[in-house]
Amino acid sequence: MERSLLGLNDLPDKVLIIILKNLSQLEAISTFIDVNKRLKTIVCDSIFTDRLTLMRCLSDKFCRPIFDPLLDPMLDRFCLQILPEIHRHIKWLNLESSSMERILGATNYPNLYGLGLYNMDTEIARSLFTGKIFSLILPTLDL
Amino acid sequence: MAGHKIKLQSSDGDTFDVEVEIAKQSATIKTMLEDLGMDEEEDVIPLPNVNSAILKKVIQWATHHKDDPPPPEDDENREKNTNDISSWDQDFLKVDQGTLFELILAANYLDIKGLLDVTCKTVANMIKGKTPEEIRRTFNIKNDFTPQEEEQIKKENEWCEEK
Repeated sequence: MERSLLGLNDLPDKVLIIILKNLSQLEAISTFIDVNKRLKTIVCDSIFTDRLTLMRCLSDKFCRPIFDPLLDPMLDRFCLQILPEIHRHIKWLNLESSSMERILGATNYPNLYGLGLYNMDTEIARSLFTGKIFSLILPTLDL
Repeated sequence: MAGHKIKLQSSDGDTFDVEVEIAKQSATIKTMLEDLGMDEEEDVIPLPNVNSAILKKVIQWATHHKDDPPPPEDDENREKNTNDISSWDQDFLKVDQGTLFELILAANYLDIKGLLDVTCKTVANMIKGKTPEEIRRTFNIKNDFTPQEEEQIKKENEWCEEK
């Protein structure tokens, strides 16, 4: 068979999106944002960035969910570089309590309309939200 | 009708006799057959975007998978699993990168969801765990960020680092 010179960068956007959707959301964003301009544009599109889960969802030996912060290098990368670049696309963030403050303080989120908060201590939640006006507060799961 | 064949013609003019049921794994070909009433054995379906070598591979894949159930619809909420590639498909896809990407383009053009899924998963597995620089090296991608743009990104993040 004659050797083809076709490369990853020759694939249409639609196909690149299918490939990226086979990666975890955070891996796709954190890797491709720095490869080249075209891949950065694709991965910064709202289909990858409008709803972000910035925590690790694991399970204990009884298969109950555990929500842990991202590992430090990944958390640093998002807080220092990635979130300030994609902040305008973000509409929803799923966060766990120990990294929540850092992530929310990393940049502003002008289009954020929803937060999913996990492992949230009741007292902290009360101090954060009492007296504030929100359009909708859904029941929280205190695990 | 079992065993009924049609002819597929590649971009370089070669024709391949293929059972209709195998060819119909391609939604593109299925639509052509149904919409244009092309079901006679002498009818030739031209495939101007697929060369002979790749069409041969596509037919080989479709023949092996002719009895597979239809692939499930994509579910955005379902976690993608890229470790479920069959050993036959893994062997089939042990090809050079150019051929792999040609197969992806052919699967996309011919609208063969199963082949597109498995080829894209294979590329995703090649990407996993790599740094941006390693990805550039692996896939021979040029870094087209200008030094000014890279500097700008750094500058935008400075306030963050100072906190």
